[in-house]
Amino acid sequence: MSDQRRRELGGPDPIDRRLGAPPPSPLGWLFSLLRTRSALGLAPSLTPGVVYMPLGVLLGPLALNLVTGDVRTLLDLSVTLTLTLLGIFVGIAFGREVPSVGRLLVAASLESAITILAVAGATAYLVVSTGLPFDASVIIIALALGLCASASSATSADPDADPAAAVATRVADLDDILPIIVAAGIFTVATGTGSDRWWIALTPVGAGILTGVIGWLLFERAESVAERSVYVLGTVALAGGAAAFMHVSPLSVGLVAGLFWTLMPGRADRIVQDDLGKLQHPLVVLLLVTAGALWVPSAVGLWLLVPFLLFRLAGKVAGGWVAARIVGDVRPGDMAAYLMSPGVLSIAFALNFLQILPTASGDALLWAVMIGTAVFEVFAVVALPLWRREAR
Amino acid sequence: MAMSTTPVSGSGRETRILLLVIVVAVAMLLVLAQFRYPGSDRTAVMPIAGPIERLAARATFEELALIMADLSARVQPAMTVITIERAPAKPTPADPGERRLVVALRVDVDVAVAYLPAGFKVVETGDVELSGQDAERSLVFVRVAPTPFIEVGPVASALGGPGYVAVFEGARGGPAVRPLFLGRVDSFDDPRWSVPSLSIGGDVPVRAGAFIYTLDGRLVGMVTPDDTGVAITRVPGLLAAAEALRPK
Repeated sequence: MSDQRRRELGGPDPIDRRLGAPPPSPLGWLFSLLRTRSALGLAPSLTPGVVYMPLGVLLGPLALNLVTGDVRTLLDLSVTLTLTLLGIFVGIAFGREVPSVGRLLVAASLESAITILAVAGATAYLVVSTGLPFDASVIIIALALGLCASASSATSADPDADPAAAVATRVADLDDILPIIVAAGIFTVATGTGSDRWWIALTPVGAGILTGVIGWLLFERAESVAERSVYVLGTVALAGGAAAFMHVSPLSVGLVAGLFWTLMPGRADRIVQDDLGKLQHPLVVLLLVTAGALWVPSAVGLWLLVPFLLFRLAGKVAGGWVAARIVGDVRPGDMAAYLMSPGVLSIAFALNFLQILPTASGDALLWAVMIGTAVFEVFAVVALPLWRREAR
Repeated sequence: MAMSTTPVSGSGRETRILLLVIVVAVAMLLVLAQFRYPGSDRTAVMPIAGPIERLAARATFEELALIMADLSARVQPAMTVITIERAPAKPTPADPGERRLVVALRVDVDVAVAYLPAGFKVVETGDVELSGQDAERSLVFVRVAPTPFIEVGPVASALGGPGYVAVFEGARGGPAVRPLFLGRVDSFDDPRWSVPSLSIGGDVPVRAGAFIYTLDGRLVGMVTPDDTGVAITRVPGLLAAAEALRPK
């Protein structure tokens, strides 16, 4: 049961297992029962996004209107911290896998690149053809949607129940690296002006390394667990705050910091993982609820939904096809099926872009990504087990 | 990690599915691309200040300008601009009547409230339609193009002085923002409104109908004429009066 893949909600995945992650709580175990049945195709299971995003909509201005003014400002803050935290976890996972994942990394990056290009190309064509009104650059909107579409979580798979799922799980873990790097590039283009862009491109790297150095020097010198937790939380807040202040992606700053802690000698990465693991679940839930609360119906978003749904499907099928051929030992259809669930990172990317895009464009993007994510989550849980059984 | 040896089979079926998905996606895209999004005039792209630029030391006025730009981006969706005109007794080509652009505060998906001075009327267009009028308080309730409702937002419960506030006024492209220094602000009872209004001391260059925000984005109220100059009608009073105008 402890192997159920709920990594985005703080549960252990195969990487966590190798790292010696703590066993799940009784409540987590109860949740995992539902996941087991779903992974075997015996029962549908709604993924967290499908549960918590509607809850956010209910709390937001469209329904109960409980998320207003100052609360919204606080939620914006929590979004930045959660994005930093997700970036740190991706960085730590990447750092641990670096020595052994050459082929998998190539496969995962190709898979995400294909999806990004498919969705971004289709979106740019649609926007130009139909004259969709945006108050931001078409290229940035198209790439942002492509990046949101590229995220995969493979949460419908139990890695120990199916060898193909184990491979797909690692591909899904590694396919977040390229989108985070591309997202950092988009932030550079969107916020940079003229010749200082080259310096701006290095800002997340610099901020990540600086934060990493601070944490690396502090964590192991703490004299108590409580003091250490304060250092860890303070360092994460510093990374998120620096990213927000300098208008760079918190995901990329977190990625660099996580990678730094893993590659440097010492136990900084394990300390961060232990301490932040306790926060991951509540912060991700907060992220999804915030996304729901910020959800604004958008006619333009409805148009963006079409390339998101169609070309994400096509991109994942084509990407899974290519990745399966590079990795071997797994059927292309199985790979694509496992990668179909976008998971929390899709929403995280959308909220990340919401921070730099003008209001109307950001709202349209978030609208399309939220609906699209919910559709794919349900599709991954309900339809794909049937598809995979039929393929056998 | 040990990988299993699951046989890779059915590649013909996989390829057919891949081609089918791609063909369907492209076909749907081409069909959709034949349509034109209604009213697709592109709006201007606003550049965002770069991170290095944000780190550099700035003069106080530049800081104030950045605050205004940030505030404008956050607050503008809650407002729209309508045109009002003074109807001459007998319009002639030489005297078509004075026109003004005033800001209207959205209070619902498709309704907004604005200031209308005596002798003026709302210029009705396809998107703007008069829905109610309160001559005593010089308020109008107008139906405007529907938009996802952006709430009025945080409201300032008090306003101290001296200090800067942001003033939003009507302009052709939308609400325009500028900083305004208030030397003194005093609360006083105005029988027209349900809550005390704020008297602005000194000779303040602001016209009735403008909306006042604090620099941290809290709405103070609307500027209205007063027997000693201009005053700020606070949000609760304004919304109560607007609610009374709402068609039943």
